[in-house]
Amino acid sequence: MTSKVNEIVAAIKELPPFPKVAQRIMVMLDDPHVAVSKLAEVIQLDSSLTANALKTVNSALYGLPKRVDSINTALTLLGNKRFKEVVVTSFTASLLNSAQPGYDMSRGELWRHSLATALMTQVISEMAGQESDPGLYTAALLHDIGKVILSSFIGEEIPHILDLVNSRGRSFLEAEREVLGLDHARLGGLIAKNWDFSTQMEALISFHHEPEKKEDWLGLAVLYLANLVCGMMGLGGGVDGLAYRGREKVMKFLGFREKDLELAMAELHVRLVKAESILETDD
Amino acid sequence: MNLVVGVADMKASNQRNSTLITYSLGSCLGVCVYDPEVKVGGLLHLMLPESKIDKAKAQANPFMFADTGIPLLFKEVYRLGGVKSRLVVKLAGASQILDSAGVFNIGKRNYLAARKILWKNNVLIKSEDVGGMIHRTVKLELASGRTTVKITGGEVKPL
Repeated sequence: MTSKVNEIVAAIKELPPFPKVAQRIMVMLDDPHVAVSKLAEVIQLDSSLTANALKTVNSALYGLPKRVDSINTALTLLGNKRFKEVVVTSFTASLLNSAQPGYDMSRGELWRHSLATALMTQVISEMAGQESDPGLYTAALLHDIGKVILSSFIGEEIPHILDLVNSRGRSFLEAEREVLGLDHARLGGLIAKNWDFSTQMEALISFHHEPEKKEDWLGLAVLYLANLVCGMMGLGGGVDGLAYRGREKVMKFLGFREKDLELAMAELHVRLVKAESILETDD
Repeated sequence: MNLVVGVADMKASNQRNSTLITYSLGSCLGVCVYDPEVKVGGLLHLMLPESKIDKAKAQANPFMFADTGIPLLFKEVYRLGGVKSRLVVKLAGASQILDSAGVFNIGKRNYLAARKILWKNNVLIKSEDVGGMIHRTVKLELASGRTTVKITGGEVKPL
């Protein structure tokens, strides 16, 4: 490893740890024997999490018939699977909301991109006839976590990176790797590892631009496409723009044509409008 | 005053102190229309070329599509006092991802759809900044008609 890579990897330690209470809840949500009341109890130990979770639940995205003001009611109405989404969404806002000046992203843009990508994995999964997967949703929310670290290192290298993109035909990811020795996706995977996430989560984050590098790649294919299409829609666009590789193989694998991408964009737009209140975070 | 045009959205105004602005055009296309005589302008941020793929969504939000959004943009500018023969029309956006196989063409198709509609209606395009792999922000100042485009991570330049 070069000294630059060492320096970047060492910066992972400066990220706030993934909240303990969050990790505990994720485990509880996976365990069918955990009583709903017990889960609600743990969430309520953390007042900001409770407030965030209630805000998320009450956004138009979840379409509840009336305003919910208790975690217990929210859990009962949504069921474990959708409630897990709510909890993960509530955690990640504060990790991703800050500006990323290295990528020329202002405050809130990375969070908007991350939530949009997570919602897009659901749209694409539905269209491809796949069941929704809370693990994929979580990975989609966190897929660009590497940018939070790399943003501090990439600034002065941007002209060099863009030169590789514009005159050498590299993707932004390939140019990051060439110039910095590490790209934002792999770095994200290292962060996931550092947070003791599952190896599956680590792989989803590490390879979100290169899904075909993994053998069992259905979830990766969905995440890759969701991320790409959100970039095309301009959702949380940074200096990297649209300079990522379009992979025909993924479209074929999912049985998607361009028309399907258009339908997915139209549907995501409708869902994002409903999710607007979740995006207005003051963390 | 900044009037922000969201994705799949349109705003038009005759207030001289207004600036129409739309952020982060990727494969989407921004269509700017301005009448320098009466200082009326409109800006559309369209997302997709043709409404026939999802008629219900086009009905709910016609600004999502080129074929339903562009006519409404012009209608609104006419309503505010703009006259067709004086209109200055500019386009920006329609970026593409890095795609040698040509599977992801929505940006190009948005641009072609807009050009076709404008051409059919005998509307000339004064200038355009389209394509590439970048995100663009477009501003139109109604007092002066000054139109600018900013590339994310780059300079502001006149459109």
